[in-house]
Amino acid sequence: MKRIVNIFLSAVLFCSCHNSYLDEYYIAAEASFSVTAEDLHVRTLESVLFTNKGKGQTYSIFTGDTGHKYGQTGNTGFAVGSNGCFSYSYREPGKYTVVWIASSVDSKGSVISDIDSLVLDVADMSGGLDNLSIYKIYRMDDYDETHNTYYHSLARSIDDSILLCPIIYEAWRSAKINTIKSAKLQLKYQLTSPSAALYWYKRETEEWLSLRSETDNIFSVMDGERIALQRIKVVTGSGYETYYNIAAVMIPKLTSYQINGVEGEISHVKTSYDEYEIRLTLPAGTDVSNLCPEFMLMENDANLYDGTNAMVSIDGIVQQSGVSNVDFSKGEVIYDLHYQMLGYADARLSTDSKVKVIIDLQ
Amino acid sequence: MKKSIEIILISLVMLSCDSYFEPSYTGSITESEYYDNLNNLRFGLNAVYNVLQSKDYQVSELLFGEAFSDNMWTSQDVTTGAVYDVVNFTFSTDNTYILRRYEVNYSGINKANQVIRSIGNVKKKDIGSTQKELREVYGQAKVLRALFYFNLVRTYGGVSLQQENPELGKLAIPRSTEEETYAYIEKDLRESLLLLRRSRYTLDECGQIDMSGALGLLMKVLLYEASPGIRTSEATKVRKLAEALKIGQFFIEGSRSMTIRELLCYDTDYKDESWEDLQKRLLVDPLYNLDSEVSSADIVNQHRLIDFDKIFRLAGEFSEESLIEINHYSFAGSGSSADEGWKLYDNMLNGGSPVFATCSKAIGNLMQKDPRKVFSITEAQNKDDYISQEEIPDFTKGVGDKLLYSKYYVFPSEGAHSGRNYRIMRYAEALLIYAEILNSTGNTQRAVDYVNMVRARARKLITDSENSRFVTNVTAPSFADLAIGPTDIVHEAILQEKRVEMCGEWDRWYEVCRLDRCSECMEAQLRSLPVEASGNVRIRGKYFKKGINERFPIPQKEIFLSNGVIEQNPGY
Repeated sequence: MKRIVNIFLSAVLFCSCHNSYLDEYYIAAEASFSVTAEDLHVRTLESVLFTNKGKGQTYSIFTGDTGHKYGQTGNTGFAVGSNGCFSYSYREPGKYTVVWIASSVDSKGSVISDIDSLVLDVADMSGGLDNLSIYKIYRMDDYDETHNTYYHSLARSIDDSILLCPIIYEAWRSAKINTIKSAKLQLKYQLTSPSAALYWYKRETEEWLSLRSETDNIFSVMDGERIALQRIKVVTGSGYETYYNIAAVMIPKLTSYQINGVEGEISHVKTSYDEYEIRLTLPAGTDVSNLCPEFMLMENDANLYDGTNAMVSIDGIVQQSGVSNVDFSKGEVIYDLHYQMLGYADARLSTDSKVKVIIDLQ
Repeated sequence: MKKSIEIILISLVMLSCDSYFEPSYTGSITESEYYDNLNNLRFGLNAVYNVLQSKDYQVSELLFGEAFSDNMWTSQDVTTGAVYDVVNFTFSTDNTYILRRYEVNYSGINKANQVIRSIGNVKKKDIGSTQKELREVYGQAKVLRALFYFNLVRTYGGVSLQQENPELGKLAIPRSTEEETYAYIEKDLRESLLLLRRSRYTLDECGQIDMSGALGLLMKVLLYEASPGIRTSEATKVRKLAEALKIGQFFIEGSRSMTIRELLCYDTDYKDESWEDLQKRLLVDPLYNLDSEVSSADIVNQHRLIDFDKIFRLAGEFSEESLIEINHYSFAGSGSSADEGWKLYDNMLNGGSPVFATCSKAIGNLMQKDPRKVFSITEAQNKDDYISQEEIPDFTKGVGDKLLYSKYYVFPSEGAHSGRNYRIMRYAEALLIYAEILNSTGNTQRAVDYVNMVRARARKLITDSENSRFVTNVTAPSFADLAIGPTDIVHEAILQEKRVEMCGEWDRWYEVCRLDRCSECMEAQLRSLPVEASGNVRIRGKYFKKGINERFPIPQKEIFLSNGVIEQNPGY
């Protein structure tokens, strides 16, 4: 009997302690947090610190980007450290709803949660595109006999939305492959995030086509017989879109150069895409101080040059074929060639090259 | 009166007891007492070198330098654990290997600091004619400290620069920026040039770094500072490339001498230290002044390329090709190993090692028509020509692309020792670094010439009677010289040449990072995952986060210990 009484008393004592013990430790969950982002604007890859301002026993956070959206099936949050701080950086631009959850366990053993949220605006300077080149435009057999070396035109940024791709003149040719005129060009590019994708606007069919780097060979810069600006867009995994224009601009080249009926031999400077050298041998006794060269720019191709969109100069003085006289008595002369993309008024869509002319006397 | 006399006498007795109550310590010895002679200072320097020979250091070099690059697969790619997490970028900030790399390099730095701050303790009576040796110890400690910081900055970005004389209350030092850390490394290397021996060390005093080692490393550091993947300003990149060119002209070409002022970059980097103070600190001979010239003739012919097939054999250890090499072999003694039982080649050839690295098909294919392949890579499944001259090592087959690096293998004919010296820097690498610097500064023809020096050495493997029977994958005429071409194409050719020449030497990942091509590299890995015979699935590249994972996190333990003084990298 005594034993039964003892067991009964112990049970009563245990039950009375159980709830009161938990009550002492229970903190009603109140979610509140701050973020180290001025006006809730941050840049991609910038470190953002979220700090707890509320109450609770444990905290978690849903950052709102792909895979971490609160309330969406399969998405996950992150546990916040014991110091109440969570550091994160967003890889893609976009607007993200950040949800902070404070939780506590009450005396009945139930988890009581409270949530707080804010919308963070993540911007990206590059719009998700790191670099881009028009790939394998021309096979440079003159450089590499193994036929494995190609000219790729690496784009350079003119501003946030224009990418300029310089094209060597040798790639302006009629052929099925390895020509800028091809309808089967490839783009090679790097995006800031693997979940982003690049699209090209095909003017003929008026549709946005997905282009995978180095894989899809459906890109073209041609509009009929001429080169035209091409529109692409980068769409991040969270749907943020950035638009760019690609301008393929020919690097100007003198395709013919003669003095007194003697044709010059034109060659590339081997280490450069925009430097040429022309050598002429004139008869002994020729007065080289006052010669009148005749030259042709890009074979006077009407699809590249209409007489107004290029300039040939020496030390800033404009040169005209068969009109301007040049003094070669002090040695070699350097021509500066400036070319602007045909049909476009934007002066930034231009390229330059240099031509060194050397005269030998027989 | 009597009382006063008693007080005076008692006081005198008490005062005279002073020395009794403060006896000199006999059971322990202070740092300054221990390092008051050159011999013990050398022991201190040996302790720094010992870090480089340790298993922790070398496993960490392999893991972070190359194991997860496009040159390698590891058997740990498909297991679980800390190495798996590192190679697949699924680690947390308390990963053991990330911590170990941090700790082992700081251990080296602290030991080097101990030597450096003790230089002044060596008693003058003990120096005498050994002043030169004291400078050499000092210079080597500086190069080694620079090397450890270089490892850290390449792995974690800017790090905490430890004080040479740490104050107890200020042990946690905030991180410096990447650019500041590089500047610190550079300063150590430049100062070491005034201290180090200009000629090579002989075999019986081998394992020490001479001036060429410091110049090679300095050129590499400067190239890193000028590279797109390193967080230095555009102005710094341009300046560093010009400085690297000067060092190359001095060290590789021998086409110019340099004054002490130029070697130190004194006019820009020593605003707060007079030449007199610097001279005293660096123990510079009073005969020298800032405009004293150091002749390149003393340096330029100290090193050269040796036969490629000899580099990683016993005959090539501490050869003229070696710039920085860590000893694992007793040359002075019995010819046995001096490596504390740690087998370097285990990492490449033994499946039971912490990091078992195998060669990727990507580098194998790149070397398909290259005579160096058979002396760098072997196929585990086939008894190829080169290996056939020896017993087949204990390969663990069927991992990755089933190719193995053979560079660190010790052939039975070389004796029973298990050591193979660890090459940190070779002259061939210095040539290719200089080629890249030349090409980037408009000297493409000379750049091509230096690449072709390295290729000519490789071509010799085809024509040489001793080795030609092994080289069946390429003929001499088809292994052509690099032709001059546009700078971007020559740049790629130089990088490819370096990748082939240096494969399996644990530096590829940092090269990729320097070039800002980690993401490209990881995407290529993901596209070419080998199928495992075991059925395990590789995921290399899948979780790499561009813009974040190029730098590893500071180990969480260090952040806790510093009480937040040391801050974490963005994204972790």
